[in-house]
Amino acid sequence: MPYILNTEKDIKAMLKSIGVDSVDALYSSLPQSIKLKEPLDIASGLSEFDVTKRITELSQKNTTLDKFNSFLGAGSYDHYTPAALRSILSSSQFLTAYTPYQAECSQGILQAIYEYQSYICLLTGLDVSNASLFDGASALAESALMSLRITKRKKVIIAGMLHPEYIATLKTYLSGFDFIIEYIEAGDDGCVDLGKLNSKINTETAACLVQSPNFFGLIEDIGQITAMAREAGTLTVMATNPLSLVLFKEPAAFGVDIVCGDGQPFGSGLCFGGPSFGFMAAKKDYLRQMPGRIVGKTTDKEDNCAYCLTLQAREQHIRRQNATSNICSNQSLNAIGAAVYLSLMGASGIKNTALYSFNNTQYLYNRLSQIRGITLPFSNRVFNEFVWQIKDAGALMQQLHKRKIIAGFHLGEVSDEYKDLILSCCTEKKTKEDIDDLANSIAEVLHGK
Amino acid sequence: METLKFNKSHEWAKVEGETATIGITDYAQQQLGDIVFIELPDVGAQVKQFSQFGTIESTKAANELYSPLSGEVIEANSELVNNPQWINEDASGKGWMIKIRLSDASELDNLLDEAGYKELVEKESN
Repeated sequence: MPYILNTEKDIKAMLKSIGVDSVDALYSSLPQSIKLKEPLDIASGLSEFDVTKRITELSQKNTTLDKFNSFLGAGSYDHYTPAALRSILSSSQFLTAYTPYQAECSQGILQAIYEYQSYICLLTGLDVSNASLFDGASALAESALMSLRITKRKKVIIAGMLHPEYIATLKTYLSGFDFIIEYIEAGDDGCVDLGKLNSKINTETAACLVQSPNFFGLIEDIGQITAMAREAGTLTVMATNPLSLVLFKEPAAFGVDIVCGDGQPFGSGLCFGGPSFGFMAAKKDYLRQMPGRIVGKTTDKEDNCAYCLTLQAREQHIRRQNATSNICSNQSLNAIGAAVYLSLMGASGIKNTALYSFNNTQYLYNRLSQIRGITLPFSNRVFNEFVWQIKDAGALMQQLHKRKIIAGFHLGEVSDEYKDLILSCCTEKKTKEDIDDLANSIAEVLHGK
Repeated sequence: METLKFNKSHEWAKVEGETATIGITDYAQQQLGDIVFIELPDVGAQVKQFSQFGTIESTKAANELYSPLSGEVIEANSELVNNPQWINEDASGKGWMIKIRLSDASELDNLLDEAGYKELVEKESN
């Protein structure tokens, strides 16, 4: 079989077989106005050598973060991943299998996913985790849909500073239904305005969607929020950075019903923004409303430990249009990567990663607080990132970029309202020198030596 | 007086005056196999003839439950949620699912009687 399909000969043979004169005739039902009048203006092609040269040229326009002193975060975090992770994930049994089609023949993958689920349950304190979803944004949207199914209500509330990309995805997921999204803006302290939230939650609210640490990096008062929600029979859906759970009280202890988020900090790397994976965990009562695959542990007829895909009757390949969710797929490789990452790091390793991130962030917060011209609009109740304010933030960032420093994420890219705000993140990879370099460079750019 | 009627989708309805008790037939439970989960509507919910009122899941499949008649749910067999095996053990007895207050008795004419249902099962099992 030729690698490039649809040769002239093929096309002629196919047209002849269905009794049509030309390819154009196949599109005769389309209106003239949307048809191309002439062929696309694409060059005829290059030799392999020329293509390689051209692509190499183009790729050299890219740069990598290790050439910069970067404080980027805002949902994607630059953590160190042990070399063994890549080596284990390169194992073809993990790498080439998109999903275990003959599930029970793939005991190794099932066990790896089961270990992943166990980690997510440990971190969130909740009873069940699925085998992962696409990313944090879709995990939040699926959590919202889940809450709408469970409560049979029509409204969800976005409480405070949720990641704008998550909100965009949520809107897409909920469009076409008669569901309502309400917004409670953050108060002056950058956190959910609890008074406003309390006045908005009622018996029509399916769920209160909150992110903590929120998009500004701040820790929300989850205990208060779940208490308000519970009174109205409303569920609390919490999006979170899973690494923060290593340090903070598990969400289940606050009574959170569904926890979700992006698993990127656990070994997925930055990779120009993806792929990572979404995670989701919930109370056992909601098990059957949970989207996605779930691996269960059981015993076979000879009493050996065995793993299986369980509760598949919820899923699309069995229940068709009545499936619990249209998600049947997941990001197994990245989710397995998270399990491998966590096991390689070990309990003390992962705790140190979180602690170093936290401490570095506090140090940067203090350094910036001493620079004239910089305001810190919110408290330091943060995990690994915080917002600082400076006039002409965009121009300052450009100056720093010339010094090979990326000061953080310019929030002006999200909204004009935030044009003076920068969100800066420290992971465990930042050294005292890195942080001093940023603070000293800012002071130099602003005030000279 | 009691009237027993059947849906083509294998639910039964026992009608006494204005009230109908609804469940699935013994044939249906045999076809489903071991039932592991059931989801029923809340009391006060409205159900419509031939529309979905709940979900039933066995180790083999998950299916929708279709109401043979329209009306308001006045009772749901909440114990079934913890004892779904009762449907396998006694589909026409303690495996009952909901009781509704009928909104339109003339709908009974759209259902099969015992003989008609028996015929349907014989046809389907061949």
